[in-house]
Amino acid sequence: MSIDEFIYAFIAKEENYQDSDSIIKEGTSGDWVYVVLEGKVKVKKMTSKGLLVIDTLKEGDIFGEMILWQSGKGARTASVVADGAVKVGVLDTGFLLKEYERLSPRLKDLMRSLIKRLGEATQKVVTLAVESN
Amino acid sequence: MTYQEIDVFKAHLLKYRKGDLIIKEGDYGVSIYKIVKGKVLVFSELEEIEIPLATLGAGEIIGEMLFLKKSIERRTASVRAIEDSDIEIWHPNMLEKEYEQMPPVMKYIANQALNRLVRTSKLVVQLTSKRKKEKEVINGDLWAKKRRFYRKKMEIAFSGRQITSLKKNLLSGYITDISLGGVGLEITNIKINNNPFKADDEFFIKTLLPNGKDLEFHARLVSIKEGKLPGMPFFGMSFSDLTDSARKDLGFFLMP
Repeated sequence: MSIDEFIYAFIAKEENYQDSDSIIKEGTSGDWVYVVLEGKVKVKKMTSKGLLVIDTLKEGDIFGEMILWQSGKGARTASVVADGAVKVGVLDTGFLLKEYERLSPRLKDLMRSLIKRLGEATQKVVTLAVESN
Repeated sequence: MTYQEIDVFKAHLLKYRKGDLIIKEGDYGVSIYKIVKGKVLVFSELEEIEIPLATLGAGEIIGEMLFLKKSIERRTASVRAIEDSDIEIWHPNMLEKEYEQMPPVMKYIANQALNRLVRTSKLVVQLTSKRKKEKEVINGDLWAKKRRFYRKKMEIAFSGRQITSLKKNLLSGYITDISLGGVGLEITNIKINNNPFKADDEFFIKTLLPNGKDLEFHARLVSIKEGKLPGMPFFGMSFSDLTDSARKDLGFFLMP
């Protein structure tokens, strides 16, 4: 998937990572939002039975966006680790939040609800995976 | 006055009672719902097992997938009120203009979240059904739980035959209640202590609805208990195959 041009307008800087490097660490604070520019990353969650891979993201995928809809300073809900050499774009969170604030109240509701449900569904997968192992 | 201000786009508020079905998986529907008060359960049905996906409360939006993704044509999950709930209904036209003006980057993030939500929900369904199948024994309780749809009481004759056996075992009696999920049957041609059928047997059943429409469907036997007639059984069944047109006829018939 190619990266749409409008995404580039939001990239504040680019970062390179080597295989297995940690990009986001679960539980830490941080408000950057990222986009995968080259390569792949793995999304992992800590469970009672160790680290569980919950998703693999590729070029064009955004991660860390949950932070946008957490009021105040939220902690990262998952870890993101490089799967091979990766180049990511770091998006300007302030700029993104401004765009979000410009949305109509209904679209704001819709976005917030969507992201929240994604977070809950992910948590559910983790619980189920741990139980069934 | 601009088009946007015309009253047709005003949101309607509907009140649902605890237990009411708000969205049915597989249905066509375009409305978007905002929960104003109450709680709802989003669930998926796989092989007649209900798989809870999320419990949502005030402020949450449901039914938005078809709006955001034009390639989705039918409801991807069912939603039921688990408390008395007030729900605001938005026609997609209300959002269309706002969506057109939505910054591309927000659309992009919304679509990504949506795709991931679809993927994650599928995973939840897979993992849950795997777990449930390991544990679950079909029984009457399960049947009752699965049929929380509106049930219409009735008393009309039916005829049927077993389709999962080479012996053409016949079944007759009358339907005592019917819903979009299944039927309850008082059996008149078999005695309870002489009953050859067991849970999971499948039947072809035919009846004539009081509104003059023929109704045919396949249904699976879920529970057996003593019927109203002495010595005769009552069968609880859930539909295993209901054509779209049969579902439609039944839907009209079930309308209060």
